[in-house]
Amino acid sequence: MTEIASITPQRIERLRPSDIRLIARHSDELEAMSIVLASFVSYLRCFKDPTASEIDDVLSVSLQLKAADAWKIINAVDLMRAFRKYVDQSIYETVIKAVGVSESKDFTIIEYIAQRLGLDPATKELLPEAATGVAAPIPVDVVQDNKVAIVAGAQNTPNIKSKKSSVKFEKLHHDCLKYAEELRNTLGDTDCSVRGAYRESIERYLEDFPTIAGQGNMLLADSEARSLRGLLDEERDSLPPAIVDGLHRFFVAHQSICVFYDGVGQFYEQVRTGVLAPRLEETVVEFLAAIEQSPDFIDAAVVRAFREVDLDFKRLDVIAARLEIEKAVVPADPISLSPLRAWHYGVIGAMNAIYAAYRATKAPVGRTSSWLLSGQALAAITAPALSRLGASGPEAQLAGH
Amino acid sequence: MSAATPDDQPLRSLDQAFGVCLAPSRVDDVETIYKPKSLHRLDAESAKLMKRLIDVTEEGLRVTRYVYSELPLLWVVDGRGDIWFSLEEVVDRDGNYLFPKPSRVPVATPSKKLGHPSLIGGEQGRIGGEILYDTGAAPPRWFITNRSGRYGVRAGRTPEHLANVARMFGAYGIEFAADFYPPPDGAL
Repeated sequence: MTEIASITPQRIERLRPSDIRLIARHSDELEAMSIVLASFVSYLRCFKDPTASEIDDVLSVSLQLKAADAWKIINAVDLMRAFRKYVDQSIYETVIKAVGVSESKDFTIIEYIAQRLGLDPATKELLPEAATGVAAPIPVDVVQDNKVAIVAGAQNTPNIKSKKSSVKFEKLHHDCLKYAEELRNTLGDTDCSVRGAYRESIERYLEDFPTIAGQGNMLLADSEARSLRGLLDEERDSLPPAIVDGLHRFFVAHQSICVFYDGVGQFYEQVRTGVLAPRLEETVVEFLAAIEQSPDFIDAAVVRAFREVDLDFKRLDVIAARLEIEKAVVPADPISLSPLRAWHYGVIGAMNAIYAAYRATKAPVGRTSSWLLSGQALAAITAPALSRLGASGPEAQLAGH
Repeated sequence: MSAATPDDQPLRSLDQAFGVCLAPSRVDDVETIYKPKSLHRLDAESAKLMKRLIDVTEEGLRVTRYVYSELPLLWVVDGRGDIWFSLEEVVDRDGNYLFPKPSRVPVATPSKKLGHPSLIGGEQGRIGGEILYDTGAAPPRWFITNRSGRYGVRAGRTPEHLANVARMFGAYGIEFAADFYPPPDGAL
């Protein structure tokens, strides 16, 4: 199993003859093939409006996998249909043409995962516990209609301990919002020569900023503020002084307001001390697809929030990599943040929180099997990443599955 | 000496040797305008240089082993039977060479990569593929494959076509193991 782990999304793009033979040797092993095909899907997701040359690459890789007998256990057409929404249409068609059309039925992600992991709702009556002690970047819980939804939590509700503290909070909240809106207006001015990434980031900040308690998400707003700090660090010398001043004013207000949201500090405390989980990119692909295909149990806003956690923290990591700064994006940042670890903890914490809330929903009458299967799939996808973080939870209970 | 079959040889023998000439099903604009800077036609002169690269790699020069394990050379047989080979290059909007295309590094707009069709001006071609040094093979060695969606894995391409290209290189003392990937069942 160790050697097949070398077939990463990066390697998939450039399979060598020895890689083809390696895959062929493991082609009848479910776990090994799930690693290879997760890498394949992850690779396919990279393409947006692919060029002819890129389509050529995808065709070649598909045929190499076919030559390696990679589709012996997991049908290629089933896999592609399950992930159809997540890949460019021309990429989808290329793979289907390459591997041939089969008569198989449409597959949901849940069914695909169930097949790949050998899940069977008939064999297990209870869902495993969610992990404990993992900070969640999004507040989720079960609401009245038995759905997992975004609720009020430490990420969008300030912790105000006294009247004096309340007055201070109100002023900071007002200032932060005002500075952010001023920046948006300045950056949106047609005469402004600053590139669009700044305006897009401040707009996303304002979308996430909790204007009233229980709505928005200060942690996600904070990730946008960090993106802006990264951009500023990169281009400080070329920015108009008025923009630099506006950004500084905004950062000071933002850092001050963050203190009132416990969810921000709790999350970064884990990020600071955490480790990295393996193959998380593929895990995120499957988890996102699984929750999106469970609309009866998981609210669309939860799916959007999870996607935002993934994108926001990944964007931070990209900026940090460009700056070649591993620890802190900005020297003045009070939190010593590894952007890569922030992404890992962000998506894993969100996955665990969503699963925990899902587990608290009730199995609908007459649909126990599908409810149980979705829950098993969410637990199974999340378990390896949680296990790596040292969290107790589904992994141990799944071990005997 | 040219590696190509003489012009007056019947086309059908070229079809037999290297597959029928087919237009690429998709071509990026840049691939019809610019050619790779590293492009060579296989002939006595280029083969002599190529053989030195092949030999020094097989003798154990690790830097070339690891470079050509990750940056395969592209090759295509054109309508006349000439074999062309080059790096997969990334160019800017004016066709200026930027760098060879490494794996999984996005090519930022407006840069474009020059794939197989660029070796022969985007025209019809016979079989095509890649040449690489496979460090993972036991033992590690040079391979030639038909890994080209637009020329190599088209309907009608056969292991024999690839073997014939390997033989053309072999005529100059350049030895490759051939690895053939079957085309899809339907024509693409």
